[in-house]
Amino acid sequence: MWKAQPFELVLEVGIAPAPSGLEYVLRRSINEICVWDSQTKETAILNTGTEATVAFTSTTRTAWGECQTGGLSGAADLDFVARATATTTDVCTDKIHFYQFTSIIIGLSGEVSAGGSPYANGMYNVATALYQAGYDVHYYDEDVVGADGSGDAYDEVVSAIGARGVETVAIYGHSHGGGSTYDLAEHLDGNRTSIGTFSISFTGYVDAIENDGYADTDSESRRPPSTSHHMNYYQPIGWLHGVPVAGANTNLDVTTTTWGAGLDHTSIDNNNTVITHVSTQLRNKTNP
Amino acid sequence: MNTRLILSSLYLSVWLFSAFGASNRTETPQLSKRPKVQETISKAVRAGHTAKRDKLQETVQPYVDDLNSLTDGDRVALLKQMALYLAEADSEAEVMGGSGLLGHLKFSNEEKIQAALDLLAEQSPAMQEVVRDGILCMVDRPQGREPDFSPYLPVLRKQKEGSGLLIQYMYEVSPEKAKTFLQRNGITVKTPKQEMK
Repeated sequence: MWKAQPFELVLEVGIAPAPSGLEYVLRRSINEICVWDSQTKETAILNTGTEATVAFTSTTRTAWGECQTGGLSGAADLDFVARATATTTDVCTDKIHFYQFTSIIIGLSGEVSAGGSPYANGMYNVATALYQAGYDVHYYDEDVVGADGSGDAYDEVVSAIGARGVETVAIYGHSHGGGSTYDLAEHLDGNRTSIGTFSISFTGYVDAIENDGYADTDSESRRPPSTSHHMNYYQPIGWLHGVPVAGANTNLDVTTTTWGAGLDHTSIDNNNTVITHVSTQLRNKTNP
Repeated sequence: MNTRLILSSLYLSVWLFSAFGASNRTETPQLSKRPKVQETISKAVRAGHTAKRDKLQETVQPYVDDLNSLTDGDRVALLKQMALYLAEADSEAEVMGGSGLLGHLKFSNEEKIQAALDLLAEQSPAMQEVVRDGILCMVDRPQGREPDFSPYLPVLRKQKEGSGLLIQYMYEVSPEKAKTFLQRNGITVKTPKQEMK
């Protein structure tokens, strides 16, 4: 059993009130999903049956949802429908899909300059794509991972496994974030006894550099311990460059491709093809 | 009645500089940028960041020669200018390229420690990050594992200026290991007496 957190629901329609011959309806797939007109639950909008008509005096209406009783045993849907009254056919629908995360994704930026932002790193675009695909993504500045793998990202993974029933971990990062991907995977693998049961389904390096300190410039060449699938994209230019990783499922020097020929250490993470490939390969190996 | 204030454990007879060097920081001249050196560092970073691997050495060497010339072969002075560059880097390319140049210049532990003794007194958070995570970290945790403070022993034994801040740094990295290390090596840092009424 799992329980969704109470949530605010902003319903928007193009025309209010509903035009003649049309009605707006909230429909639930299981009875545990309830909708109220306020956070304090004075009046139920949908608390009995499988659906309820919703009146609109303006084009937006705020409601509050919750997972009632003990929790959900599987996935559930809450649909917002514009329906033809005469035929009861749906004209258009929107949906909230409730499901339990089975995985946690950790994304790590490269080094960030003073006043800079980890969100400028292309690994954030990967995180955004995964979030929009329904993954539980946690994105960090690589500094949150200590050289021994401990820190906020590690704590989040441990919490997800211990308290939220998560069974699968995926980690990726650019530059020092790649080195920290190794450090985090190693720390998780070394503490399995205390953490609980989990697998590492995917790890990804984008021009990975070991992260034993701010000025560490050694290429990361180690395959993260116990990962089921390791992707390694790198470029060979300049002081800072990744290298092939023995045992990686993918080793690609991007400068040998037509789309990556001009990339260097600080442009590789923002390349659209790299972003897409990290996201796609992770999704292929990891369920939300 | 005069009482000597001793901030130490039973095992560790380290008398700390007043507020661990806070008062003598005012005597430390502020590190200033040397424009020509900074400009050359910037050029070297850009060149090294995009040089092909087999051309890296020959691409960067003219800049390295210039840097050595501009600093009269004073490697500690050069390292301090490198630290200034990194502390003010405002892009990922400058941070990582600067780190690349830092690694390329292959400063010895002695040079790093000597530069750090001066730089630890700098107040800027960015400089503190560079000194702690960029310079000293690579002295005491070159492989990112348990800290090994033994490279600091010679300067601690000589009680060079800045030793108090170095000890403070060691305690921040690992209080237990710092305490054990100092105790085992009998390090005692003499300080100006503080008087209490």
